[in-house]
Amino acid sequence: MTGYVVRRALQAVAVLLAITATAFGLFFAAPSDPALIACGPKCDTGQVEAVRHSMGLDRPVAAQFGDYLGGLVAGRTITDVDGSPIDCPAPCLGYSYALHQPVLDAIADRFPATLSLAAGALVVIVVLGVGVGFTAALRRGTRTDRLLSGFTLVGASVQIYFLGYALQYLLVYATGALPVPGYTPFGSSPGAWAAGLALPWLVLGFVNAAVFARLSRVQMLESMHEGYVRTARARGLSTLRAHLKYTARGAGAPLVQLLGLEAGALFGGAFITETVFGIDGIGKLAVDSVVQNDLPTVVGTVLLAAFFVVVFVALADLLVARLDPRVRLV
Amino acid sequence: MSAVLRIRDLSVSFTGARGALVRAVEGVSLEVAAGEVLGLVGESGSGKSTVGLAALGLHDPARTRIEGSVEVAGTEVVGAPESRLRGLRGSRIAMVFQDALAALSPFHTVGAQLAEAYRVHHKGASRAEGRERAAAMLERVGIAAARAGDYPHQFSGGMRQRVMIAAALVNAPDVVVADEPTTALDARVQRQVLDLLAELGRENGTAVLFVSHDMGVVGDFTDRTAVMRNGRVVEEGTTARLLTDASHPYTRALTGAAPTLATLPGSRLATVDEPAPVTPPRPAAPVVDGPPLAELAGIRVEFPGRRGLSVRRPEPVVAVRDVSLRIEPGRTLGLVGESGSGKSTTARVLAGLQRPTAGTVRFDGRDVSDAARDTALRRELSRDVQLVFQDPYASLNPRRTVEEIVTTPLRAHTRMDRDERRERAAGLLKQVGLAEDRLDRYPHEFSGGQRQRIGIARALAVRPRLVIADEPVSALDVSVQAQVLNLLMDLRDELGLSLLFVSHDLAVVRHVCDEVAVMRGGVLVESGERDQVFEAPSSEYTKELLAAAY
Repeated sequence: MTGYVVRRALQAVAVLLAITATAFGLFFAAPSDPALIACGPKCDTGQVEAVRHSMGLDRPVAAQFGDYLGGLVAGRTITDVDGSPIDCPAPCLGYSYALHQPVLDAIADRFPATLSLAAGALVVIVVLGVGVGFTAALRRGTRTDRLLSGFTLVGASVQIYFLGYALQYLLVYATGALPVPGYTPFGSSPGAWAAGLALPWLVLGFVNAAVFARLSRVQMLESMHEGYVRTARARGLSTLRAHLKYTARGAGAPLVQLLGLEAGALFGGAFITETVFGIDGIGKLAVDSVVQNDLPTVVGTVLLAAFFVVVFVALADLLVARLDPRVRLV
Repeated sequence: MSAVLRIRDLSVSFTGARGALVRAVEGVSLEVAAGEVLGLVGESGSGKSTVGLAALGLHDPARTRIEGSVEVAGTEVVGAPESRLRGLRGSRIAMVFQDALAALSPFHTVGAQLAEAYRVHHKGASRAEGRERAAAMLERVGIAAARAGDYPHQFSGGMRQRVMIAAALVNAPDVVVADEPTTALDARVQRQVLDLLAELGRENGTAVLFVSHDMGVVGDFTDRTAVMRNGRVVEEGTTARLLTDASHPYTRALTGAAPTLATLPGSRLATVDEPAPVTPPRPAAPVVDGPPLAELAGIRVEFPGRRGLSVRRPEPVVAVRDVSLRIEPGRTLGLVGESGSGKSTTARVLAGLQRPTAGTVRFDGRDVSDAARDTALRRELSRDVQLVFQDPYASLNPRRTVEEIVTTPLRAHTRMDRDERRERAAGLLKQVGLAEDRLDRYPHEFSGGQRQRIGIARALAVRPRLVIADEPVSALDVSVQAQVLNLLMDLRDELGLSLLFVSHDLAVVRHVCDEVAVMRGGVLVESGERDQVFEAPSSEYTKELLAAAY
């Protein structure tokens, strides 16, 4: 077990390194000049060169990458456009000249919103997706099954910005059932936090729940015919109890795996949902930084998203091993 | 004695495709008294398992129509509400299923499953009480109570079946339905498990309905037997009478289908179509002077061990240790052993599918040890050496027609054109006893025995000189097994084939083979001419195996 975790952690570091390097490399290959952007439209060539030098952009790519990794581990001092030093403690993700703040601070400012949104949406996905899938499987072939399957198909085919605006109109502006969506920190008012996020949770959860509902239905139907489910019934368990205790357990592993991927993706930011509901989260930060050619922020958000995917996929694997004692962690 | 399981005029129909009713059981009446063991025998599809499931009311009511009556300890099962059935199941009537690995939950410890079986019917019982009952029951079936915290996959096949029996008997039911409880087990283990079931049944006065396709096993274990065919009981009586003096030809065919240690080797086995075959006995193929066709010398096979915490390379697992074998031209070598003995690995080495860690493989005088690594060499070898596999469901590609399956080796090894190949395929089908107009069908349209015939046709397509058959009949019913064995023996004589016949069934090996080699734990414990090994075995292990065989 300990050996597995160590191996897995090393693997994760390797993946993250590769992703950082790729993001770095891609950006240098792109036809845009961060120095020009940092300096502003009124700079002349000489000024741009000076800024380029002070930002270290005239150094070889490999050296810049080395600086970046060094900063990540030990922190470093970055030179601002005007030549003044900026202290960036570890883990330093670089300094955003566009936002005029260290990337880590930019992320830290927005992360609580993304965390709140993702966590709530995951709860909706699990409850709605798995609940619908299991119910449909237990009533397979009936009208309930067809109705639920159709319901999830709607979720899979509808777009967040359509559903989001439609529900917002219905529940917020037409009826006033909910306040205008947005992010209020949990610490300042838990009630406002929940009320403001209720709609984003529902929309993001519903749209993503479809895959879960379909997968859990199929998995349930498959493991329903396992011998051990029949044994449980032959032991005198009610059909429902046999399915809840044994069929669901047998169906669990692929769902956990998928949930791990889903969680990783959501924690890396949900741009469309954030935009629709005006939540200032990681997704918006990432897209804005790409639009503005803000290299340090782009690399930082890419790294953050990859980090969550790697961590949640590893957690999912551990959980699968807990669920099924036959799984050997190698 | 009064009957605790009373089945009267039971009929079961399933709703098939497009709502058509398929009748699986028709007008079956059976009675089992307390303490009695009733055998229910028949081929796959005879409806015997359906009767067993109906006794517990386990059929899906939405897709099954059940008529007649099933009384368990005086309570009617047919038409009873689910709540009443739940009270009966596991308490008054319990079931031991065939494949314990599939029938036990892989997610829960055996102790937890036993405790659940107890507590379902003892609502007031505490967790501690459940654990105590589970531990006591495990001890009773010969498993240390300390292993209650282990999962089913950590036990051997025989131990798992003991756990199933323990779980079935934990509430001291009146009736146990045992559906092929030992079919997947080696003979020695099978005997131990059956002895245990019989002993516990006698102890508690439990009635046992013993469902099996194997007349030999039933004969040893039951007082009375009912024989089923196509959903009906064709004959019922004391087991002793059915074995020696059955009135129905079908019963006689089932009885004669499985070779025993007393059957005349090489004789034709009885089948349902041919209940009393007459053939002159086939003498063992003569020993020919000269070099062997195939030879294994000092073969050792290691597999990499499990990776633990340490960084060091783990100890390899040795599957085969210093095994030497010879297959003479035109003769059949039987390779016998229990699961885990290394017999299949040895066969794979000879087929060029597994690289030996040490030792030499020769075919027709040529060193082919490297065939597993050297694609060109393996290809050449497969021109002369072909395989027949155990599982006729897994070894045929379900998306290919029979013609495509049978002609694959021809495409790889000959320059025949399409028409020639089709003609050859048709000839092969005829040779293995299938109608040639079935070339365009897919495997799922055939029964298990027919599929095994297709597998044999594929192996014969390139006219190989050596056929390696790895447990070719162990997935088949005894009656179908008899047909396939008859076919293999016919083809062998007709084509002058050399055969490596791998099996765990001593009686089958004795019937088919000229020479026998016995393996245990990766080591060759004994080898020699058939009569010598069976009449005067030199190793203790062979003697033990012979004592357990039917």
